[in-house]
Amino acid sequence: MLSVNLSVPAEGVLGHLQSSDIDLVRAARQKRADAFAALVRNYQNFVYRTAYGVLQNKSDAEDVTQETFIKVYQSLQGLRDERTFPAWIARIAVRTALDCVGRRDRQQTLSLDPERIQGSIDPHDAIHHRMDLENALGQLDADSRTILVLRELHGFDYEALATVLDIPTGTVRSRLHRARAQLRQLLSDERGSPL
Amino acid sequence: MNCDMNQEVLSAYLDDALSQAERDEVRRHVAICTHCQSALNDWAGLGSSLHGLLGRHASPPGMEAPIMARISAHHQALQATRLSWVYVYLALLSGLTIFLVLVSPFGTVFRAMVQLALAAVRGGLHMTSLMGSLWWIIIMACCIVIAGASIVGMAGLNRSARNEVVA
Repeated sequence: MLSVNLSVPAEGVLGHLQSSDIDLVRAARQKRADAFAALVRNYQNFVYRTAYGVLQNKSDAEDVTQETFIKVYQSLQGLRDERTFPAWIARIAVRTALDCVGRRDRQQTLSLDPERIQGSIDPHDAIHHRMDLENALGQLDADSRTILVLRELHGFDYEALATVLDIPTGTVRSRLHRARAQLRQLLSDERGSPL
Repeated sequence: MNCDMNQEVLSAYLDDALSQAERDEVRRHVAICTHCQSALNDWAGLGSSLHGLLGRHASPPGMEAPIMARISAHHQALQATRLSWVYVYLALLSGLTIFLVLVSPFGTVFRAMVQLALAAVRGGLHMTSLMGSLWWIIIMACCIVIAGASIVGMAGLNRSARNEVVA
């Protein structure tokens, strides 16, 4: 009997939306600073992990996180349904991160964190595998990294992914498959053997 | 074994993004295709690993403060801009009101009162040439008398207000 784990990650997008968050969004839309500060606390890890997943650089991820919350504050009035806040903020974070990738590519600056060393010498197997995965993730193009982060880390379904990335659902399917196939191949190459 | 399964469909099966008929078809195929079993297992494993890998990262402490400081500065700049526009609107409104008053029948009375005031000032200045410094002494004495009367009057009002008995 084939056993494949098809469960959505525990910390999916719906897990981020608490009922109190809806009240906070409503209060923040009325420019209440304490409500917005609470939203920042509740979602800063969500935004940071999204940004880091796309950028693979801590400093850039911090800058993008700050920029994202500034944009959220400026455009919160445009959010029609508070229940879509996680997808909405993810969309802003992704766009801001991809803008950063574009600027970085034009400047042709080194993107990866220097502490991520190619070919780890750490004999601990879990750490070795983590370094392989991080290196492989860094070799994907930005679009592939983005869709993997949104699907595997946050658990967005195809409809939400299409909304966040502003692409058709069919493109979501093909892009996700391509990203998985590329990552699988890269990891196989990194380890010198099939997974 | 030759596998003709569309790999995109297989990937969508992993995400539970297929119709019931498509799911059943994929399930039947995967049960007998080791190539697709391996792909599904690898993709599912990569997904879990990615979740664990990225979930380990947390935003650095103290990130909230600079964000709120920037928002506060932005909010203050916005308020200053709005206040400037309020001043502009008030100035325009005042100018329009004065213009309307001047061109209306009330403007005639207003212009006459301005001319009367100017005539009084001219008369006062003419008195200086007639009486010299004596005129200024008379003006100063009148001002002192008026100020003194005002002070005495205010003091009396204050005293009566304190002595007032409320029934």
